[in-house]
Amino acid sequence: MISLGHYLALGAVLFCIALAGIFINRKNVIILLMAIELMLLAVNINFVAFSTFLGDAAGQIFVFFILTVAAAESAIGLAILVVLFRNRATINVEDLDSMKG
Amino acid sequence: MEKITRYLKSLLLLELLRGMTVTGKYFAKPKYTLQYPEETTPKSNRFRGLHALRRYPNGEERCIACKLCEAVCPALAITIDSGRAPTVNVGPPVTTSTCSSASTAASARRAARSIRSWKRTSTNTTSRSVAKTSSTRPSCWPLATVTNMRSPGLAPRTQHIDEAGMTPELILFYLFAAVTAAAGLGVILSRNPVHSALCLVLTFFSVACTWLLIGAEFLAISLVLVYVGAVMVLFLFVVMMLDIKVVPEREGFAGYLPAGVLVAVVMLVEVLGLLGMERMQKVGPAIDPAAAAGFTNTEWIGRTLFTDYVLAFEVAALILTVALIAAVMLTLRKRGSVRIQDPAEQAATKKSDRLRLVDLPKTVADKESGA
Repeated sequence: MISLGHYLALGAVLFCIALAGIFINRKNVIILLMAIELMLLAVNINFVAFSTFLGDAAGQIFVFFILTVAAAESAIGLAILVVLFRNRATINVEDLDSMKG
Repeated sequence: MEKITRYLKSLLLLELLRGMTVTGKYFAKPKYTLQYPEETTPKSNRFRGLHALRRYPNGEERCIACKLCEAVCPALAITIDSGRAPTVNVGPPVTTSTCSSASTAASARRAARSIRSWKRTSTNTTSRSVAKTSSTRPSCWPLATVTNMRSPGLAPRTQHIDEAGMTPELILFYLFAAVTAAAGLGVILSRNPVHSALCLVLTFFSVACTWLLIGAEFLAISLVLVYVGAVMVLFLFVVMMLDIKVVPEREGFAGYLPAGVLVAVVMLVEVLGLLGMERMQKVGPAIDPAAAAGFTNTEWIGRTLFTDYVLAFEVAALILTVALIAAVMLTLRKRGSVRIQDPAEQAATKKSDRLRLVDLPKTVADKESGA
């Protein structure tokens, strides 16, 4: 039978893949945004699994809200990206150092 | 002078000849490697082979539980339990000549199997595997040596998988999880951002499938609708709108790879270590909580969402509206060069805005024409 551990392990694997993606892709902001989406998805997997296996509806409600916030975040992130590309003609993370960070 | 020497050396191929000498020397020497399964090294005199249970041609065991072999075994490896076949624990390879000489009714006998081939398999030859192997060679079994015996570890291992309980659901889960992980790797490793976005679609879709397996239907469908239908289209739209050069974006990939993989692997090991705790294993199989409450999954979520979480629901709507306005305002740009009509301004125009009456002083010509 599928156990809670299966889903938590899947979430952990997905989260770590996304983490490695953020480290590896330092040149493309779009892939960074996608990696953040993957992380949120990993968290959602955990929420759904806990909600189902512990019988509490709050977990699935929270996934609902996380989906909302993630959609808003990616919309604004991509809008910023478009403005950025229009002004600087690059999406390379290392070129975006005008604040000396 | 030195130059000429070097030139001559390279012309006469001295380095090549030296190299070929080394090759030839080792070519002529005796070889130490051998083609293992076909050729074998000579066996030690002390090697007695694998324990096996001998049978009569009609399949009946020849062991009469006389316990002589148990008594004589110096390593206390043989256990005879009357009524059952003898168990031989072959952990340390200490089979001695006493074993085979003691086996009058022939319980332990040797098979000329190379010792290293069964070292890597199960070290506990139980009666089951002995019986299995012996049944494959009934006719020549009383002879002391059997040359072509199956690996004794096979039978117990297949049985272990059966005990794990591979239900169809679990197989499906593993399938979806494998697709999820592979597509996730595709997202972060793909060269082309379009491919990354498509891999992300596949990731979301297979995760939605895993949610369906535990009955979270509403969220699975909304994940596909919201992400695959809207967010991913947005991603693809932006990727295709921006003129990104694919190849130069990958510089520095190798530099960050070790650090990234190290952090990810350490984190994965830590998290999976936590999951391995016994407390996590005790959470039982999924009993659909919605079905237990007598609702469908969507009804269950809806009842909770619009009672306990109605304020949060409204706030989420507000957040989405703010995000919409913010995204539009961020990307809005005014171009000075474009001429546009403003109908409101046109409608509100009065006569005084457009028409200006000018009093002109009378000129000499007017006076003349008027006169």
